[in-house]
Formats: sequence, structure tokens, C-alpha cells
Amino acid sequence: MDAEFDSSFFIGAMLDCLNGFSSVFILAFGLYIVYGLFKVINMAHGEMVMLGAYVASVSQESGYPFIVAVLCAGLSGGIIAFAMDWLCIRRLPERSSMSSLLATWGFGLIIAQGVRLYFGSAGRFVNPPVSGRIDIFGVPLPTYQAILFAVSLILLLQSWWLLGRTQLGLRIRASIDNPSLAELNGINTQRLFVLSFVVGGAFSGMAGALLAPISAIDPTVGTANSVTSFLVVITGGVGQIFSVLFGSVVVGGLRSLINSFWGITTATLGMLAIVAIILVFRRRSALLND
Amino acid sequence: MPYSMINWKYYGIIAVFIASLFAPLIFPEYVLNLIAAALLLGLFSAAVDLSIGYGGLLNLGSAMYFGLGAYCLALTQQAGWNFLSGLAIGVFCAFILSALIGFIGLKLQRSMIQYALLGLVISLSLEQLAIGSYSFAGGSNGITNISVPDLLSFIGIKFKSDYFYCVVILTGILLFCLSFITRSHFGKLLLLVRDEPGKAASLGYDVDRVKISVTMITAIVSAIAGAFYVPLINIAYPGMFSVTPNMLVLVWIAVGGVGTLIGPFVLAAALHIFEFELGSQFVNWYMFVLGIIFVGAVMLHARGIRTLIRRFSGG
Amino acid sequence: MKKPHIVWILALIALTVACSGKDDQQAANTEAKADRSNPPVEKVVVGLLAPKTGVMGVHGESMEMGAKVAETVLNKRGGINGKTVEVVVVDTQSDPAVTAQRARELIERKHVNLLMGTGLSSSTLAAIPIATNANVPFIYSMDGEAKTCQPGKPNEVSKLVWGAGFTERMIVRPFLSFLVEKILPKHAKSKVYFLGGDYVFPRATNQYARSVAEAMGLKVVGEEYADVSTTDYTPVIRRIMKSRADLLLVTNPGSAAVTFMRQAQQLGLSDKMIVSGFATFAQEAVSGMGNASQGVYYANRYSDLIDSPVNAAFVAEFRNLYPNQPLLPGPTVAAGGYGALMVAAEAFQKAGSTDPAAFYKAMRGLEMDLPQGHVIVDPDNNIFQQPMYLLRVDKQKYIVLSDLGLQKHPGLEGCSVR
Repeated sequence: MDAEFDSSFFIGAMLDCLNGFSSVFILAFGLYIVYGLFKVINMAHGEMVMLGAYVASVSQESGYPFIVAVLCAGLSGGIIAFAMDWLCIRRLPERSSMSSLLATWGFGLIIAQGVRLYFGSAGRFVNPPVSGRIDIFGVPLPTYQAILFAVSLILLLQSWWLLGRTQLGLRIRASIDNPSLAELNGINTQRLFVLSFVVGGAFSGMAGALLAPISAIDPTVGTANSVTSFLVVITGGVGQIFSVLFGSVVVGGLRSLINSFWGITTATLGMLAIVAIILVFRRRSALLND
Repeated sequence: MPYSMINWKYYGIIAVFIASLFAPLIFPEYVLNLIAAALLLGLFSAAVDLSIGYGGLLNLGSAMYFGLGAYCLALTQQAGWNFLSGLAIGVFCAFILSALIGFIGLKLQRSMIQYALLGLVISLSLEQLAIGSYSFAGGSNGITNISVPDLLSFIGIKFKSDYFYCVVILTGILLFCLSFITRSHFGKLLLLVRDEPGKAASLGYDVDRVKISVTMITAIVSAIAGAFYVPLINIAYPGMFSVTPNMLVLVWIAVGGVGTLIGPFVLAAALHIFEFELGSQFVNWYMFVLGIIFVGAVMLHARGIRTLIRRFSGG
Repeated sequence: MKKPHIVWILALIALTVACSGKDDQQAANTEAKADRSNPPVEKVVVGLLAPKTGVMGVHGESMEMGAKVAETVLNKRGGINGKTVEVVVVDTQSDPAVTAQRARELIERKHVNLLMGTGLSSSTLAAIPIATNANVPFIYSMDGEAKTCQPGKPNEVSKLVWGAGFTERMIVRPFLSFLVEKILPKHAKSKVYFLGGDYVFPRATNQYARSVAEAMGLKVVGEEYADVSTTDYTPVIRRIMKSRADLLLVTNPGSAAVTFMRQAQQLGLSDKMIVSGFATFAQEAVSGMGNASQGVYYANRYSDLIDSPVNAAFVAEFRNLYPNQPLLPGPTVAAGGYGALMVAAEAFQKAGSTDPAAFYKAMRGLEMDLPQGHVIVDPDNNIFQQPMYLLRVDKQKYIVLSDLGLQKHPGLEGCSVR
């Protein structure tokens, strides 16, 4: 073994860590919006991501540019979320509960099977808008990965700004912290919830399209998407945008880092172990509502 | 719950059990296998409901105890040991694991959601471990060729469908035990610990020990169900620890009626049979239909689930 | 509040029991009628355990299509021994427990004369004891390690189980030989990297491939296994590129391979080394890869571009039956579905009956020309001897570069039936 520090390996590992983080962040974002804010577990999130990828694939095949495909995917996610709310969730006596978990799980099943019945079980693909690589100190970085990282930064900053600095954000935070008081102050919590749910659904769909060029697209990928997103949101804890950031760092970035140094299976088990440790040792006082 | 309703349900269940004893006269073997599997899955649901519904301890990794019982039995059967020793080992392992998780999960931190997810993480880790061990546990192939044992051989009896009868009687006895627990002093204590832990503590009860105890009961019964389940499907495989069975048991409990024990039992068993039948009739569409049925079921029983919410927001 | 609840559930049970009871009643009636005077036209019933949903969904659909084409072709020429062929398809959900229960159902309720299909090895292994105990012949359609030894007797061949797919012993050596002789650079000792999915078949394959590769003078510079939940392969790809391997052998089928190849394309892996594999890049799995599959070298038992009259007829029949199917027939359709059933039909025909013992005798050494080529049922180990093809994926078409010849599995090596 040479004593010289292998800089290219280290840079590669760092780049992969950022890539792992941004992929997972984009994936989990839609789920976070609804769960993190309103504690509604959308079990159909993974399937909505999958559907977004399908929509993007069909759009691209029809000749539309990538950005249009992403928007179409977002639209599909938003529509599905709206339908889910209108058909079922708003009729439940208590949104943030087992009922919404089960109802959305049923919807997830419907979406996955619907896709399978219509498209068949064979996979599809989406081509990224750019191919090729950028050179970072001699280490190749796929251009598209750089774009995804930029997207995740934009999402992060935008959410922080929206929630922290705008009227809308204030209203949302009010309805989470104290719904009855918010209502008394003239905030329509129901409408805000629907808005958040639809926006969350749209982001789920867009995530599907954005991640499609570097993923598999077939009816079975929904579950894996849901599990990963779930792990992110739970590791991060409920709360402000920091939680999904932290969750993505652990589930995405840290996993990638362990992979670079110690291999794939160690990375999976290691990530699960770290999540378990975080869950066990998290102090209850740090969580406002559980 | 009004007393009259309890009686009606129990008589109904007893009637179903007695009826199933006549099943071997009517149905072919694969239906008997199906019914036996359904009963065991129902027993598993009821056991988990004891912890989740009655005890208020949400656990997203309950399937690990079922899988543990299954694997212990499969491993011992492969080694040539008899059924009862395999069963005993499975029960013992479940006991140890639940004690460990209970202690770590409940003593070290007190958040319920964390405890729930800890269970899931451990279940997924067990799945990984099972996949990784080919020489010992068959890896991803699982342990196969586990035939139905001659359970009554030590008495010297063997007759057709003896395994089926054993499963029916076992399920009946264990279900009775579980419901006995809920009606006993311990059951009332469980309710108190679930709804008003502060009061329970002030009365001098060790709340954590109660919670760990109920977890162990669930674990043991689940492991027994898992052990008996293996010969029916001839295989123990890593998928038993995966996300899907963990989610399914929660679905059965929530739709069947949280905390009722009987509700999840009936639903899990009925659904297993119903889904199989539905799958025969509509090979392509049945899963789609199942999703629709679930959404419908949730809408229908949403009001009954309201009570669950109140408990969780308090816990 | 609880009453309607329980009533609903009980109604469900009643309905279910009624449904299952009804079918058995009808079957009993039909049998009773058959015992009397004119028996109705008898059928040869084939039970297909197809994983139509779940991770092997594509293969389940493919198996069904292949079997249905065979059913059509067989019935057009008068069936088997004058009896109509009926293929009964059940969905095993890519789950071993469901496979076991459905196998029982097919045997006891549909009275199948033959079982075929299943997907992953765990499902196959779940079905084998059931078929064996019920004395029903079973041909498993998919590739994998050998599973035709008797349960408990690893050196004896089963009289009821046949393997239609190839094993690692049949494909690794000819594949590597071709690559070494024709494709890899000659000047230096080529370096090979193994990447597999974390389950039994890839590990068994790579273990064998490693010894073959080293014997051929190749240098193994890496061996990795990715668990099924992996969706981020970039660190792995960098590692592979860093090893400066000349050849990458991927045994990670399904969605995992698609994800890997899409990400590998981003990093330009194909520019740096030869990417190869077998089941990984089969027709069924590759539709999701798009142009990421460009230039891959791949070995399997079938390509729709095989130039033979038998294959041309098959593809035509396939297009006839499934005009809207965008996926061209791949190995699972042509060999796992169609080929397996055609061989069985031939054996039933030769035996003159559906008796399992006669079937076994007829199957021993049976030779047939199928869309995949000339196939011989090995009399010693029940695994179909079949030609392997070296293919290259070009613009998502499978160009046949070479027929590697008829391959045979040695004895019962590596049998995973315990």
C-alpha cells in the first residue's frame, strides 16, 4: 500500500456522497411535505413516484423535452393526491392516523396494479436531458448528477424560505402547531392541508421523473421508494425542513460514504444500524409532536 | 363493550372452530392447508393486536417473531430434530429477542414511534442476515423441503389430516389464552398502562415491565404460529422478515378492529382464504380489486378507528 | 358499532367458503358424469405457476405468453394423444409461500398432468417437494443452479423434476472462452470484475466462474454483491473503474441491473471495459435499460434473431397471438414457456399417456428442434442440454454473434435441493 493519500478516490467518494444525498432528498421530499407537516403518512408516495417516472417516459417518447416530462409527472402526482383526498382522506374523521395510512396503502396498491395492467410488467426508461461528465480535479462527475444536486439545493432553500419567511409559511406552521387557534384566526386549515397534500403529491411525481434517468422504471419499484423515503422522514424526525435534510444525509449520503469505503452490504446494514441507534437515543424532549 | 356482544362473538367463534373440525370430511387437502395457514395467520394477528391494540405498543416489525419461529423450526427440521424441540427453540429465541428489544426500546427512550420503527429496522436486518447465510440457512433460497411432521407420533397415533386438527386445536387454545389474558387482572392492567400510564405508575406498577411482558407474550405466540406455518408451505425464507408481512399484519389489525383480538383474527384468516379464491377467479385483476376493497373498508370503518387515534395521541 | 363489522367479515367468509365449495362440487359432478356413459372430451391439463406480479413479473407474463403459444400450436395439430391441451395459469406473486399453495391447488383442484414455471429459486424449491409427493411431473422454466436431484439424495436424479433453463456450469466456460479468444485484448493478462446480486445464484455462478477464469489465465480483480435494496451504485461503479478491469460480468437481474446500467452509463463505464452478463441482460429485463445496454456482450439460450425456420415459425405465431406486444419474444417466452411445454408434449405423445412413469421414460434423452435450437433432455440429470448463444446488444436488438454449441450440465453438480 502506498502512503500517498489517494485524492481521486476521496474526491470520488465525496461526490458520490453528495449524489446519494441529493437523490434521496429529492425522492423523500414529497413524502416529507405531507408527513413532516401534517403527520399524514402517504403510503402511496412510492407508487406516485413510480407513476411520475412512467408519465415522464411516455411524455419523452411522445417527443416532448425533458422539462415538459417533469412537469407532466408533477401534474400526475398532484392530480392523484387531489383524488385521494377528495375520495377518501377528507372523509376520515382524523387525518393523521392509521386510517390515512391504510387508505393510502390501498391507493398505492391500486396505482401499482393499474400501471401493471396497463403497461405490463416490462420496464421503461427515460433519457436524461444531458449526458456526459464534468471533470472535478481529475475525477469524472456525471453532468446530470450535478444538476440533481443543484435541484436538491434549490428545493431546500426554497422550502426554508417558504416556511420561514412567507405569510403562507406562517399560516402552515400555525395550523400544524395549533389547529384550533389557527382556525379561530381565520386560517382555513382544511384548505391548507389539501394544498400541501397536492403539492406533496406533485413533488412525488416530479421526483419520479427527475430520478428516472438513473433508476429502474417498472411496477414493482414503488415499495422500495416508499421504504427509503419512510426511513428518511423517520430518521429526520418530525419538524422543520432540517429533519428531511438530516434524514437524507444519513440514509443517502452516509450510506454512500460507507459503500465507498467498506462495500455495499456493509453500507445497507450500517445505515440500518445507524438509523436504529438514532431512533433509540433520540431524546423525547427534542420532538414536539410524536 | 356491552356484555351481550362479547358472548355473541365468542359463541360465533367457537361454532366456527367446531365446524372446522368437520372440514377434512368435505374439503380436499389443499383447502385444509389453506384453512390451517389462514388460522395461523389469524392467530399471529391476534397476538400482535394484544401488543398494539390492547397494550398500545405500536410495532412495525412484528413479523420478525413469526419469521424467527419459522426459521428455528425449519433449521431444526433440517438437522433432523423433532418438531417439539424446534418449536421450543423458536419460542426461546422469540422470548430472548423480545426481552432485548423491549428493554432497549422502552427503557432507553420513551417515544412510541421510535420503538415502532426500531422493530422494523431489526426485522429488515434479520432479513439481510438470512439472505447472507447460504450454508447455514439457505440464503435467499430459504430452507426448503420441510414436510408436515407426525406430531402425535410420540403417542403412537397417526391419522389423516392429523396436522390440520393439531393446528385447529392449537389455534383455538392459544386464542382462548389470549382473550383470557385480556379479561384477567393483567389485561386490565394493560389497559391502564396504555391509557393512563401516570396513574398506573403512581399505583406502584412498573409500567415498563408490563409493556415488556406483553411484548414477550406476543412474541412467543407469534413464534409458535410461525413454526406451525412452515410445514404448510414447505419453506422458510427471508421474505418473511420483509416490509410486506410487517405492513400486512397492521392492515389486518386496523381493519379488523384494533384491540379486539377476535376482529384481526377473523379478518386475517378470512382474507387469506378470500384472496386465494379471488386470485383463482381473477388471475389478472384480483390485486387491483383488493386495493379498492381496502380503501372501501377503511372508509367504512373509519369511525371505529377513531378510538385508536385518541389512544396514540395520548400515548 | 361493532355489529355491522363482524357481520361483514362473516359474510365474507361465507362467500369464500361457498365459492371454493362450489368449484369442488362442479368438479365432482363432472367426474361423476364421466364415470357413467359418454365421457366428455378429456384434456391434458398443464398448470403454469407464473410469477405475474412481484419482482419476476416480466418473466411470469413471458412464461404465460410462451405457454399459450404452445397451447395454440398443439391444439391446432389435434392436441396431445388426441386430447385438448389446457394451460391453467396461476399468479404466484413471486412468493414461495404462494407458489406452494398454488401448486397444491393446481394438483388437487385442477388435476394437472404437468406443472411448469415458477420464478426465483426459492419458489422453485418450494414447489419441488409438493410435485414430488403428489407424483406430478414438474419442469421449472427459469435458469439457475441445478435443482433436479432427489430431496435428501443429492446424487440421485429426480424422476419428476426437469430443468429447462441453463445452469452456471453450462454457460460460464463457453462464454468466457469466447470473450478471451475473440473480444478481449490479447497482449496482457485480462482483468475481470464480478458483480452480482446478493442471493444464491449469482454467488454460485461467480464462485464457479472465478475458478474457470483463473484457469483461463484471467486475473480476478474484484467480486461484489449488492443487496436487493441498493439503488445507488455510483460508489460501486467508481470502484470497478478504478480496478482497471477489462471485463465486467454482471449477474444482477431485474430492476437492479437496470438501475446499475443507467448509472453506469452516466459514468461512462462502457467506454472503459467490456460489460457482459447472462440472465441480467435478457430481453425481459433490458427494456428498462434503453440505450444504456448498448454494446453489452451477453450469453443466453435464445434470441429472437436466431436464423432458423423453427424460430421464424414461432415468432410468427407469437406475433399472431400477441400483435400488440411491444416486447419481442425473449428466452423466457421461447424457451421457458414455449420450449418447455413443447418438449413435455412430445414426451406425452411418445409415451402415449399421461402416466408419470411413462412420461419419465419418454423424456430420457428426448431430442427436439425448438426455436432456441436443438435440445436434448439429459438422461442423467434431467436438465435440458441446449445451445448457448453469444449475443451483442446493439440499439436494443440482440445480434447473434456466435452459436457456442450444445451445452450440457455435468452430473448433478451444485444441486441446491436439500
